[in-house]
Amino acid sequence: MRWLPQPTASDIELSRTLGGSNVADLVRLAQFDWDAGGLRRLATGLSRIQDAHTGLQAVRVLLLSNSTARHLKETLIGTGLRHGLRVDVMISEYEDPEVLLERDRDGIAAFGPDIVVLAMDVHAFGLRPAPGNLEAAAAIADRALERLRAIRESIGSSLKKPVIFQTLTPDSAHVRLHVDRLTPGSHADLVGRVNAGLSEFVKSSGDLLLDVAMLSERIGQDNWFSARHWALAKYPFAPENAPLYAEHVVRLVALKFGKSRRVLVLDLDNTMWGGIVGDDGKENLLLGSGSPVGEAHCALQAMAKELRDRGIVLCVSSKNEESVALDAFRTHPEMILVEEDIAVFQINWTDKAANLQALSEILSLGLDSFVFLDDNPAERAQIRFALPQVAVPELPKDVTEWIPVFQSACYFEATGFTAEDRDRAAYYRADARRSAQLKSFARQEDYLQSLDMELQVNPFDAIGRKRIAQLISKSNQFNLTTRRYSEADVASAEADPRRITMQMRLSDTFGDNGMIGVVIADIGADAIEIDTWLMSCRVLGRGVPEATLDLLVARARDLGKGFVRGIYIPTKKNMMVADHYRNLGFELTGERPGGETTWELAVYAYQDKKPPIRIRDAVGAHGGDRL
Amino acid sequence: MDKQADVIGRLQAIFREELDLPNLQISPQSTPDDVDGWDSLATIRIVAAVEREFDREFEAAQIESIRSVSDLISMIAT
Repeated sequence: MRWLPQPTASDIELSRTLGGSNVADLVRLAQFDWDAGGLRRLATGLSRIQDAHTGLQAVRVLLLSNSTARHLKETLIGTGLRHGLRVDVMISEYEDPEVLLERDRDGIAAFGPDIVVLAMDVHAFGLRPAPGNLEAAAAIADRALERLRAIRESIGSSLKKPVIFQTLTPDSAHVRLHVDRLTPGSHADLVGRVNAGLSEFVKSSGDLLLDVAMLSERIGQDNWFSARHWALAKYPFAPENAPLYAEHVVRLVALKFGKSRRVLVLDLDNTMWGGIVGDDGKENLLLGSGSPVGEAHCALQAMAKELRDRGIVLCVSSKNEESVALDAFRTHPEMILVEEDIAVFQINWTDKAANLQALSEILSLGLDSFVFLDDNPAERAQIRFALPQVAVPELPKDVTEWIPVFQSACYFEATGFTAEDRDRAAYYRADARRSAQLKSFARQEDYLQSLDMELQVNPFDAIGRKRIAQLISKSNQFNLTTRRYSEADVASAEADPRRITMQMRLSDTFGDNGMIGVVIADIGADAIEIDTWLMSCRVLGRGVPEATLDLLVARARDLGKGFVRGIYIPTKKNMMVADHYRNLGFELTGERPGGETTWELAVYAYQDKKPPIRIRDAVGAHGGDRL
Repeated sequence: MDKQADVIGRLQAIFREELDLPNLQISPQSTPDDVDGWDSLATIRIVAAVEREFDREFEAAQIESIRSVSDLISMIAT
């Protein structure tokens, strides 16, 4: 994993002597490129920490493998540390998943997995070639897919948990010729059919897909599989690939727990362009065709632009004279990125750790969603040391080699891709402009009035489902209960007459903010009980919670309920809403160990808060507009 | 002789780490029967670590026939 820095001799020594280890050391060490032995030492270090409050997210992973897999356990645990997770693993190996699911129902229930990895490789399906026989090819692929669907159903019948499926990489034991792409029923054709069918299936089931075929292509199929280890011990892939495999599995797991990278921070000098603009002058920068270095910087910009089109927020952090650097950025004829592509520029002489913290505040995005790209090893080391939650790719010295290394890190993994993702980068840029406008208004209220906001509230529906599930799985900060629901859960809430569901979109004079809030509430005997209340931090301080509460109280009145009740469940990240209910006028009714608090609001005494937002409410009993 | 002591020392470090037995003492005579956790899959892990440590690659048939630490030592020596 070339994007991870190599451990130094002292790091290796430290990993061997992790006696009374602390979590911070383990998390810092986990950022290095360890082999399976190193990851196991980290896992052992973690196992010695009894304290439940490690600040790591606890996750239980059930891995079902048709071949040998127990050697992956500690690799997965050690890798989890790299992603802020305390992973517990239950492994079933060398057994058909169908059999295990039936045989060990109780054991699985006792373990209580949060997520299931269906680690089935090509050997589980056979896929014996039937060259030239289209009908047989379709039938063989269908049989494999039917089996996967049945396993999914079997998992779903007892566990309402997401499953990570794996694409297949071809079995090197079968004939593989150029002509196989042209031949229905060749092994390559069969593998292609299964992978295509599996992708379609995962798209509809809302599960996750680990593209093992892509991983093995990246490193080469001959390096992926070890015939010797298959013969000796039925290893599904060469043991030296275990850290890479684990890294990608854990990434998908982390994604399901709301941990994803969403921001790319770029340096300017010798990163965005070749040379130092303050010393060399704009005219002498290496950028554009004519030199390999100039072309490499262009390619890097093109890559950043492509990421922006996938919804990644781009920022610039550079030690420079702001006017000089911005002038080059705006006017250099070979620039591919334009000013509008960048959500926030931080061009100053402050240290970069402070700049990243400022960016995190401006964007209301946690540092654990940041990736920091900088040519300077000293800057990279400083960020790794000061802000270990930021991903800092280690780059080769030669700029022409950067992109393959950066791309193989696959930082910006996502559970799916929605129209919201595509537009997200623009939302963040509009946010930054809103904060500029805020400065020109003396009073917050005048500012809010000037935004001319409209809140569109709808019950959950099929169109919104994917984005609702995405918000539910990603929102960490403004999230009262941090209950994670799958797309299927969202669909069932949508259909449940005893639940009130709200999806909220906010637009204003600067544009549409997209979906920014989700509420799920249960209709109880005497009250509306709020199960889930979350909001995008991009719209903090805009009166949306007040408007939402007005709607909830109106709903309670319509239904003849006397109260609205809520719970706050503390996590490491949602401190900002600890006093949410108090601030809205709820009474504290209980406090449980662990910091959970329960709150109640009496409907009869409630005065509508009427923030300066136009409401279009399609949820209320009467529907229609409410001004 | 020194060379053999050096090999045993390096093997001992590998065995301790792979079997998670920090105080394990091995000798050429040690076998899977008298070392906790040394099963056939542990052999695969130990061999993978030995291959990394000594920059060697062994054949499946050799690995298959490992019955003691001395088998490993002679594989490394040849």
